[in-house]
Amino acid sequence: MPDNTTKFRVFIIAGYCLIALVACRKPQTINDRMENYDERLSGGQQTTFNETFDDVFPVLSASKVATHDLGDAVFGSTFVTAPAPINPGLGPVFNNVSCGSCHVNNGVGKPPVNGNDQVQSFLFKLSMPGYDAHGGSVHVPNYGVQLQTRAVFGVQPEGNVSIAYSTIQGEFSDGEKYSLQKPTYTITNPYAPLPAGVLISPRLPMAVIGLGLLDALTDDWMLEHQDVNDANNDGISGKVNYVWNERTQTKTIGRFGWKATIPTIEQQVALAFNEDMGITSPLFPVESTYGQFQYDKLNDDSEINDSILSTVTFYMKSLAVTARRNVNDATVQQGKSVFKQLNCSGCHLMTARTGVNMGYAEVSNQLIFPFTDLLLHDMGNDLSDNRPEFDALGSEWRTPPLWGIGLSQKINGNTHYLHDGRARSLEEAILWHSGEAEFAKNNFKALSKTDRNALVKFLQSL
Amino acid sequence: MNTILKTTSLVALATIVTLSACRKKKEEEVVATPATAETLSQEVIVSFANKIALPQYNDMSTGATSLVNAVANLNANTTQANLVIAQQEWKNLRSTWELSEAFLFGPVADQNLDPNVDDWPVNKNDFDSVLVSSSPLTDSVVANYQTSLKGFHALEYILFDVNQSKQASNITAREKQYMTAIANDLKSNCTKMYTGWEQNNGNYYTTFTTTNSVYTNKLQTLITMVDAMAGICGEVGEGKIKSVYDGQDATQEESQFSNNSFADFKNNITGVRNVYLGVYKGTDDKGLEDIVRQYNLSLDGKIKQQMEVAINSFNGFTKPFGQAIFDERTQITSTINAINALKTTLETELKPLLQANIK
Repeated sequence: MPDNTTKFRVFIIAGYCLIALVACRKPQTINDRMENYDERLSGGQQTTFNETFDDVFPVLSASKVATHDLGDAVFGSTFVTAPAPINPGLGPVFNNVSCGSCHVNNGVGKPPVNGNDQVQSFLFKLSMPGYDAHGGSVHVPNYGVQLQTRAVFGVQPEGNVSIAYSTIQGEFSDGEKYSLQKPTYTITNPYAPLPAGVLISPRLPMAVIGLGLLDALTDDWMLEHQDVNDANNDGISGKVNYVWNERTQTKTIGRFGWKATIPTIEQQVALAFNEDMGITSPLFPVESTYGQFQYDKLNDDSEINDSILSTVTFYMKSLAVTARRNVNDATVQQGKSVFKQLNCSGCHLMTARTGVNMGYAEVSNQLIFPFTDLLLHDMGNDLSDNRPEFDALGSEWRTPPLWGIGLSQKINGNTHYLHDGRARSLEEAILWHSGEAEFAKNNFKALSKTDRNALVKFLQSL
Repeated sequence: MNTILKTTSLVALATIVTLSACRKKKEEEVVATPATAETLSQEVIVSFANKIALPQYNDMSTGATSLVNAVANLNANTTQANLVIAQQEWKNLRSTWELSEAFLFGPVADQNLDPNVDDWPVNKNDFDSVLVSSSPLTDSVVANYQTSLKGFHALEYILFDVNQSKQASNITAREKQYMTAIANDLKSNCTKMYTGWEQNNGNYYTTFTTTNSVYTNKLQTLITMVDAMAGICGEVGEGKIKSVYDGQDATQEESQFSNNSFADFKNNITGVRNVYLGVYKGTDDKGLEDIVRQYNLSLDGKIKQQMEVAINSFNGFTKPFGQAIFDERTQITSTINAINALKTTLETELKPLLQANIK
């Protein structure tokens, strides 16, 4: 048996060695460590190897899977005009009849292809210039903050929108030409006079995978990457959007939606029920038509109860992220180098680690590859909707996560990118980047065709 | 008595297994080489496209035309006999559609045709408002209606009414116009299912049968087929049957006006079997079974047996689904279990087999 002194010496030596080891360790960034990680696991342990956006988190307790399934059923349910025995509450005006009819297969929506097609899985936000009491969008008299293009039978929809595309020609450094289509929107058949100066912003429904993991990224993580005044001089600023939180009745950090105007998944779900489908919930108990002549005057609000809202919210929080494909393909790896070299990864952050959440261990402490910083960036005038929302200016958009982007064609049978779906290919989406991404975009244009194609192939592997 | 029953069941089971095994010439269990696995996969994929998807969607298109004609005939000569004919055409088209729900991918999903033909529930308030209004019921107006005001179930509501109480003598002029427009819209959408696959039109055929950015390899194409098969098993077993049964709520029955739900369910699972075997309407070509039999004969036997058990489980009901959920609860449980067992095998045994052997 060693005496106490010996024990003490051993302890000191061990302690010294530990300090020496820690001191000698090369400082590693998370990006270095990614090289040693299985980069197919986009969603950490919550990655699915099936090429579908419908899979539940692979690591989830049976009771939570049951809740997920209940939410799944509601997500796919068609709502009808109240009163009715099943799924009542649709309208009176709405954009679509179910969650799943905009987020088809949990994927992205589709802009109308021809000018006067009826708008289906696509919508338009509206507002007057300026800010409301919370810094949010100013309601348009008789319309609110969204144009509901459809209505239950016998009720007049708020209007429709016709889309016209103009062509913008461009050229890569190697002389190859390209053309982009720029949309302009006109509200047609407005049910009430539209005030002068009304602002209109189109929105493509987003894929809904991995939201539980994005939700698990901490506020601190977002603030850490914020660089409002571009102190590091890399041409990229990035800022947090502080938005109104309906549950806390305070302003908190926004992280969902094209302009990061939504602080929580619950609020996104409740808002979509209310504005997109005309269904009131405990969080938004007032019909979107309140004060308009379409208002149903039924004393039936909330039309869905807390448990429906919670199950759909949980469904959104537990959809697995698809695994990356072809990660060892030489062209894909070349494209990944280009992605980093152009500093696309300056905003589309390749790696992140989720925080610890005692209430939801399944999303805690996961190394994920979301390809977003969830921050607002100036994307230039061509993409500007000229419509401010909280701290987001017209030209500022949240970096969208890119996971799953390579499966758009398979999941939805078409490819439309950016907030209004104007980009018909990944290459076009890159070419629309401007503002803080002008430099990266120009460097992309200067690449050889081989490198451009490699970059696209890398994106298709996501 | 019990022993006799047991023996009988065992004999029956053995017969099913033997019959299933006898469907094709007995082959020796051999492990396919990668080259033959690739060739065989391609044959299965092409066979599915040529012998199941294309002819079946063509049947959707021609079936919808027959329905349009039957509705026109009923409208011109509104007799009870013609009502029954129109109802039967609805059921015929419904049968083809439910079989095809075993492969809900491609144009039917990408072009959003599924909700346009088969949304549920019917928005009854709006439906009744449509009928009492004087709003025009032209094809283009109805085509733009909410999906819950057209398609199979809205037409079912007119043709059958609650508890199949429809009488030809009660069909109104507005209902005739509405039926015509819904039937024409169904025909338009069913035709799109077919043209979407056709090589000289939407050409999903080529997308499906070649390797490209959508289907990066043969495995992914086969997995898409299996996911769709398991998907419909889940929708029927865990959704359409179980939710109504658990809730003891007949208002949630899907084809409640026509009492056609059991036929719907059975056709869904039969559609799964068709894809597995590579059969449709008497033609028998390469199917997933041909791949499975290269690697695991006992799994092939198990899948076939589970499909038969699930399909045959519908034969024991004496009442329509909306009543069986109250009166034949044991049989309903057996059906749910049989479908879930099949789904589990597809997901946990068939898929891994493909993943292990097909590239």
